[in-house]
Amino acid sequence: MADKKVLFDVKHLRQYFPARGGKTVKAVDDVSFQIYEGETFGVVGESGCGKTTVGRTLLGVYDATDGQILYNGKDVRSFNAEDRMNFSKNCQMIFQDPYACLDPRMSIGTIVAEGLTVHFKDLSRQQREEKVNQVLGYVGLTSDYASRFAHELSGGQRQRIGIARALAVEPRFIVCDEPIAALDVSIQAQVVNLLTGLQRELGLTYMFISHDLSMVRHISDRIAVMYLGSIVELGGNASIYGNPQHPYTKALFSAIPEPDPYHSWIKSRVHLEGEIPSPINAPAGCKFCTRCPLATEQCRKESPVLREIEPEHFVACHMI
Amino acid sequence: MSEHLLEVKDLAVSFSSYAGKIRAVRGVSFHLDAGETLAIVGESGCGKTVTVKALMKLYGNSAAFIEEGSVIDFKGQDVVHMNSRELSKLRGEGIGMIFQDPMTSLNPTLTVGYQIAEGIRFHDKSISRQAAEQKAIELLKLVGIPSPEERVRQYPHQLSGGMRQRVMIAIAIACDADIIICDEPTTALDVTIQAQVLELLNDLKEKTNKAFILVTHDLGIVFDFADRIQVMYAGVILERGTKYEMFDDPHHPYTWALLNSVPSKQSKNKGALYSIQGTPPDLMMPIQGCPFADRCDYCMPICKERMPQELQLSETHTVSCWLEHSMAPKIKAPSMRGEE
Repeated sequence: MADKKVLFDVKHLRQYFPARGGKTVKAVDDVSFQIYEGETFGVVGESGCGKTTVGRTLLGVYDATDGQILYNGKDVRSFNAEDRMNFSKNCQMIFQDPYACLDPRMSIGTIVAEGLTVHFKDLSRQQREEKVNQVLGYVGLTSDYASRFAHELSGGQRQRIGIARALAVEPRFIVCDEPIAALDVSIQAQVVNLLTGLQRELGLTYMFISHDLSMVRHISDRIAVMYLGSIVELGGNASIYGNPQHPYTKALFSAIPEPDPYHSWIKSRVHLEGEIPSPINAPAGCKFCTRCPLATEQCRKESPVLREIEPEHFVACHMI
Repeated sequence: MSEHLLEVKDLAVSFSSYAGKIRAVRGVSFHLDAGETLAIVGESGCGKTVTVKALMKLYGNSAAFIEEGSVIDFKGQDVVHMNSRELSKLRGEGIGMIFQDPMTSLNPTLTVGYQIAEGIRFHDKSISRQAAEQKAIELLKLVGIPSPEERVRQYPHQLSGGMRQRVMIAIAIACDADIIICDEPTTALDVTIQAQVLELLNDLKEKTNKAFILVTHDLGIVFDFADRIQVMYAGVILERGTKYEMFDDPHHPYTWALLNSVPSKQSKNKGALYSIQGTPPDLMMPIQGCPFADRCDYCMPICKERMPQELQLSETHTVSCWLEHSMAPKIKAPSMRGEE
């Protein structure tokens, strides 16, 4: 991977939110990773593990509590106005809920063109319309859709509009935050095929956030597994799925439903008792120690750091 | 009187709306025996939830109604023509239901113990409040909730999603119903919690002689839990069979598509997933021919004109597709699960 260009370099990122009673929700707690140009970086974990917060903080939706985000080697905090405009043009987001993320009072054409009016000010009205039609074409919709409104479209079509809107400003990097969670299985496949096709054609980089482990395995080059605000395992697709090391990763992957009547995944899975603790009172030491079958005294005191156990495969566990 | 625990014949359910009649379920027949699990699989809007709600006429004040000529026979009783008192007895005692969303299906202002005991006390007027609460504690223990004596006095917001779904299961089994309907029981849950809940349901299945109906869109959980599977689309059943028949030898193009559109362990990284073009038909419009015809890769002229007959492939396996006709071209099913 040394020849690959690093697009994002995230170092010790923390994102805390204030909670009632002077407490703090440690949504993201000391997370470091890199995203290479042209790859799909998958982030998986259960709800509340901080995967969406990482994506949003990366794009500057939230102001990071601590840590560094380097975009093309430059700290996002040191950006001047021009850098910031460039950054927001190049880094876009596709949202989870295709029903909530489109303004019901704007036509599809206006929604898709909105970014253009900011980032491509010089375009004439006609050029803008052409551009809108072009991106609608990318996502498999005809130009008729530009005059329609969101309520006239099905869930899959709305998600395509969400993708078209992100594509309109010619970004290099897109955070896909659970883009298929709200869609039916047959429509999920359509959207995932669209995303992989666009990546091949336009050379996009994706951060693909999802709790759907089999879809992440399908689409990602490298994967980070998150638990309660921390990355517990990080590595290439083959090593993460083929050779998971962290006890949480093992348990999580064994819980993926496999459609196979001859082999029961429920019975053969790694049992995990209990549920995720609240990020307000995360356990001391390793955050997984309350549910981990291997936990020892050391795990309850020291929090483990990511270690490289084989090339490009990192695990945060004392026991490995 | 039928020999089955539950027998449904030509069930049709419609909704009246300002724009016309929506025919959500358009003639569905199936049966269920004690101790077996039937899965109804399909996309949203295919009528699977409407079908199972019809089994208890659970429509409240909504505009839904069961069409003339539908038959629902539960242990010899005619459910379609039951009055409200008979229905109250059926609900809970005969058929119990686990709803999709444990976050909104529980009453936030009542303790979970009260909500479990409510059904018990409704169906057995002689039981004391204390005895009902004691039974609620036993049920909480049965569904694997730790320290049930404390939990029984807690409110739903004090429980996590997985725990709430366990409470829902406890309510459904509280009155010892013969049939438990699970409507997307794990859709709102995380994978590790989903596995825990499915394991609990599997345990209940093994320990009791109850019949289960599992409604889901997730093929991954179907094969582990169900004995028989029926695939629904636009209000009709397109294919049904035992789980082995449906996995090894699916016949309908829609079943192929459903099986292939989920990435499996064997599927190639970033390879194209099999996807179905278009969207399901509008149920407000009359559907001529096969409802899947517009999205089917193997559509023939006849498919758009007439609905195919249900063809019996084995005692348990049936399919409704013109491809089975002797004059239709022989199509080999696309390779399943990404194997070459």
